[in-house]
Amino acid sequence: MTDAKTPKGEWRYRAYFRLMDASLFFWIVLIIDTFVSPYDDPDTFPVWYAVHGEVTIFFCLFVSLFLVFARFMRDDYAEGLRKRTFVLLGYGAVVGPIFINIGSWVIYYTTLILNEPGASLDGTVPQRAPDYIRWLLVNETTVDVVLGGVSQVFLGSFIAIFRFLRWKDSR
Amino acid sequence: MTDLSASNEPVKYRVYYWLMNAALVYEIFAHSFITAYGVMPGDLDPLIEGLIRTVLVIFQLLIVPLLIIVPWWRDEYAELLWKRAMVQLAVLMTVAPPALLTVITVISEFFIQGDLSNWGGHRPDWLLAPLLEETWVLNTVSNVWVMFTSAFVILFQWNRWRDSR
Repeated sequence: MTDAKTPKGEWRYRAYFRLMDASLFFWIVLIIDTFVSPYDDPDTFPVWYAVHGEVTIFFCLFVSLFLVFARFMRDDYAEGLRKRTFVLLGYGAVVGPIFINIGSWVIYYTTLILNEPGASLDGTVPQRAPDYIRWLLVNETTVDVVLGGVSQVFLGSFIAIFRFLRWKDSR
Repeated sequence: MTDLSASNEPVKYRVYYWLMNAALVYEIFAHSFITAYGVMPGDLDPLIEGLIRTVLVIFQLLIVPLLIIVPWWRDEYAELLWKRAMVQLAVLMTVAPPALLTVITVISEFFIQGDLSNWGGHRPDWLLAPLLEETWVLNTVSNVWVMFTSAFVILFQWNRWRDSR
C-alpha cells in the first residue's frame, strides 16, 4: 500500500521507511519490556537479554535520533510527513502536560478529601493516593532523569505519529 | 512588514500579532525577573505582587498556549510562521535533552568526579546543581513545558524578524 508512495530507484528513500518501521518495532519492545521485564537484576541477565537490551537502546536512541535529521534519506513525501508529524507533536507537547497537570491535581485533591475529611489542603500528602499520583506529585526525582524520560516520550511519539500518518495516507 | 499585510484583515488576525508581541515582551520580562529574583522579590506590596502573579499566570497558562493551539486565529502568513517555528522547535526538542544529558555525563565523569583536593576546594559542583536537584516529576515536566512554549514565541518572532529584513 505505502509502496505506491515510495519512489522506486533510490534505495536510501526506501531504507528510511524500513528503519522507521524497525525503530517503531523496538519502541514497542521497549514499552513492553518496561512493564513486564522478565529479569530485574543486571547480574543475572542471560546473554540474549543483554544483547536484546543493547539492540533496543541502539534503535530507540541512535537510530531514532538519526532519522529525525537524516535529510538525505527523505524524499519529498517523507519530508512532508516529517513536517506534519512535528506539527502534531507540537500540539501534543503543548496540550499534553496541561491535561496531565489538571488530571493529577484533581485526583490528588479528590483522594485527599475522600480519605481524610477535614484535613487542611496545604502541603499534606494523602496517605492513600494512588502510587502513580505519589510518583508524579510527591516523590523526589532528580531533574536529569525526568528530562531523559520526557525526551524518550518525545522521540518515541515522533516515530509512532510518523507511522500513524503514513498508515492514514495509505488507506 | 506584517502591518502592511494585516491592515485589511479581520480584527482577530491583528489581535494575534499584537498578542504575540505582548507575549514576547512578557517572556523577556518574566525570564529576566525570575533570573534576577528567583521567583519573587521578598518585600513587595501584596497588591503589586498579586498583579505580577496574575500577569504571569494569564500569559503563561492562557495566552501563550492559546496562541499556539487555536487554529482559526492565524492568517496565511502567521500559519506559515507557525509551521516553521513548530518544526524548528520539534527538532530542538528532540536533540536538546539527549545533547544536554551527554554533556552532563561527560562533565560528571571526567571533571567533577575528581578528588576534591585537586580542585583546591573549588570543585565546580554548581555546574550540575540545577540538573541533579531533586523535585517532584510533574514539576520538571511543567518546567520543560514552560520552556517549550516560551521557545515557540521566541522562534516565531525570530522568523518574523528575519523575514522582515
